[in-house]
Amino acid sequence: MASSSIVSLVSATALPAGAVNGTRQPPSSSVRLWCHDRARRQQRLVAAAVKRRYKGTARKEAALAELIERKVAEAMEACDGHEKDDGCRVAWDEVEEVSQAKAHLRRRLAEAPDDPLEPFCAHNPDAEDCAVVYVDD
Amino acid sequence: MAICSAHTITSLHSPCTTFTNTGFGQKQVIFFTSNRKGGRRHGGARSCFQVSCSVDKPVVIGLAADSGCGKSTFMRRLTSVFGGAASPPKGGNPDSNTLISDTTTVICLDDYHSLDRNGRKEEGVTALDPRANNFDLMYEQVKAIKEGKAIEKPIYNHVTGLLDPPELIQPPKIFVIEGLHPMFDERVRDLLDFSIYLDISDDVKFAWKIQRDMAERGHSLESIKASIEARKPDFDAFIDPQKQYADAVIEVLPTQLIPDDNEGKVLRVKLIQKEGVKNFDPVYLFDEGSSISWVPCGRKLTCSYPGIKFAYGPDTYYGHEVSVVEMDGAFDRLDELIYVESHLSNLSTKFYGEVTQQMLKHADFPGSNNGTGLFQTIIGLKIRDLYEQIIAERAGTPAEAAKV
Repeated sequence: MASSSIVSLVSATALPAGAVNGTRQPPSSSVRLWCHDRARRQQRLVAAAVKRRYKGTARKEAALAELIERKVAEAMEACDGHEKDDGCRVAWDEVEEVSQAKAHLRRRLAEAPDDPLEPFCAHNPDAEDCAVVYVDD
Repeated sequence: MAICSAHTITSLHSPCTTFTNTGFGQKQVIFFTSNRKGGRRHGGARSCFQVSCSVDKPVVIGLAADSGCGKSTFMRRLTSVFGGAASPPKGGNPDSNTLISDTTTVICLDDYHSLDRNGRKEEGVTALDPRANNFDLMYEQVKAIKEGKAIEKPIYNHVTGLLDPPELIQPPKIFVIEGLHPMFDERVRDLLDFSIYLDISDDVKFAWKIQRDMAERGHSLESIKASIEARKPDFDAFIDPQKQYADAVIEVLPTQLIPDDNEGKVLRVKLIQKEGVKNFDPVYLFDEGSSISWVPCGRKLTCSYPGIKFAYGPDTYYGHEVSVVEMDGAFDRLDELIYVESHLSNLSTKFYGEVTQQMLKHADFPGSNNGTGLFQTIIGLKIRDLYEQIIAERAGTPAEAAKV
């Protein structure tokens, strides 16, 4: 959902002096980097595809993905012909809850370099969930 | 954490008297100093330094949004305005929904579910239903935090769907309660110093949920649509009515600049600000109280398609007087952002370009190029201003009480 235009706004436009704090970047090199180095960025993405995670995070990701599939199937079944029923509404609400949790986790993983379990594992390095695994992205 | 302020009291004749409980729950310490070498101010006068410390009494903010809780974009912008990065509590439950930064603590109101996932299934109620939430506990704990006491808040685990053992929350400077029902209960509503409602229209909600969920294996276009429609009756009955109580509503609608746009990329966003709210001066364009329609793109500023359009004016919203600032379109370049910022008034910025700087800091957040990011950032600055005003008021009162 991140708009590419605002990112280009950061790198491609020369900053007006005094308006915004920050270092002045020569616009030409930034534009070059953004517009013409997509291939190099793709390469960098491929190289970083195998990620280091805590076991707890990998487990949570897999659990949520599987839960979504199961809950959607349950909801489709509960609502088959009974759209106005309580059971139907509750089932779709569960789907929304789990989808939201997965979306949060996905965004959290995409944005920050550290693992979401970092605050927990820093204090409990011996916990089972804090074993390190390597996953494909 | 306590805020301590020291006051000097000079008295020419009488010695310093001790002050007992002023009724603000403050502890006071008096230091007596005597003038050596007759140096000081009134030659022979005694100076008393009075230090009074008060336990942090947080400013409480409420945010209502359908997206549920957690690390939502608005919260991250808000905590960023106050400075410091927000992160989950260290060493605690890894599935905790709470976010803590230096100045701010954000809690998720899902933690006050009285029924866990199984319980709701049995009773046949959704999470949107007030019957699934413990408003008594919510009120007690928000009241306790507001008085400066720590609370043991339950944790609702969104992965397992169960209620986990509670976590300890210390009173911060700013306490944000985020969720589906911050303004539902009247007692909790009275505790809020400021409240915000994020009102997303159905078309935009549908577009956003598609973007969010289409990558998931289990989801399809039909399932996403069915999910929204199934939740709609409960949402309209229980969540939507809260917007009449909010001090600020951010309403997100489809754009009017592009005919038949259904991608939800360009948005029309309205910032509806209630008049007469304590410590809150609404943002305005050009002239407060008049109706303005403004297209910034022209000779001084060139914009790309579809451009930007602003509107400002007074209005009534559910029987209250409000001021509405509206932005339709998208920012494409930095100078558009700065140009717009320089023409808005009452932004509560500390320096020229602060709004632009905050937006650029989080250029990768969704909504950074349209009114959602702009108004969320502005509200963040308004809340900071509100906080500083409240703190200044509180600091002013002990000095008043000390003048005997």
